[in-house]
Amino acid sequence: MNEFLSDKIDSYFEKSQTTVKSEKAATAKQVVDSFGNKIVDSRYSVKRPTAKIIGHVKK
Amino acid sequence: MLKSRIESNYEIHDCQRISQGDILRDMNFIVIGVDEKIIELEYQYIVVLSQDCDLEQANNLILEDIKCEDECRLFNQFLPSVLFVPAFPSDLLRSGEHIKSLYKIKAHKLNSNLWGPIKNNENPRYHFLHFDQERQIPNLVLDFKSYYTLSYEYFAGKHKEHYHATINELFRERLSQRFSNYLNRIGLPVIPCSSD
Repeated sequence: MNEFLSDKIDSYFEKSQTTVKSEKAATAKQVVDSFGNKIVDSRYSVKRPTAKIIGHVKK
Repeated sequence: MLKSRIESNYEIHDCQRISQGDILRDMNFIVIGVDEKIIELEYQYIVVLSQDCDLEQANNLILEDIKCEDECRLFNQFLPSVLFVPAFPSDLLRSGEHIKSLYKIKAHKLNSNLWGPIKNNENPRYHFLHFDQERQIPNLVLDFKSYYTLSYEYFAGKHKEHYHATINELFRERLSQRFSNYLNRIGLPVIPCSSD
């Protein structure tokens, strides 16, 4: 469980059991098997919130 | 063990309307900043906190053919906006960098002593949601100081596209209760100790 609490955010999902990133070295078949033959969503990784200025209110 | 028909922390519904406890993913929306800048924010996960009965009635306005009077629609349960809270990946919040990319503000890192109560939902400011591999939900933490509202119609337009899952009954009520308890806290003034 300590692996889940790693201070290194970027490695969080790599170390966890919840993403294909942790299976980089494994074969595709092993990755699929590890998730019970379910396709893993590639978006399932940590994203920081973002803020983008896209304009100004017109007066 | 508590007898209950609830078998998991999360469910996935038919997405016919916005529901309390809905989790939306990669949710982007517009806010107005300093000098009336138009800012697009994007959070990886957000959770709807508006009451489900309010949301259902708001949806009824859309579904039902409500009669008009003097070009106004007759409706007693209009809901102008939806309340929601960003849910941060737990390690991002624990590192103190969860709002750094938004506001250039860092919080203190949370060591094990501080993190334990948050993970057990014993710190009133935070709410911990456990990961669910089947529904592709990581460990998430809500910070009750961070919340937004958006107009119902604007939010509804985003809802179908970004809907991901829903916090199950009881768990969502617990979240609502903890959120409202946090907002209801009473701030006390600091009274200097008298030296007599």
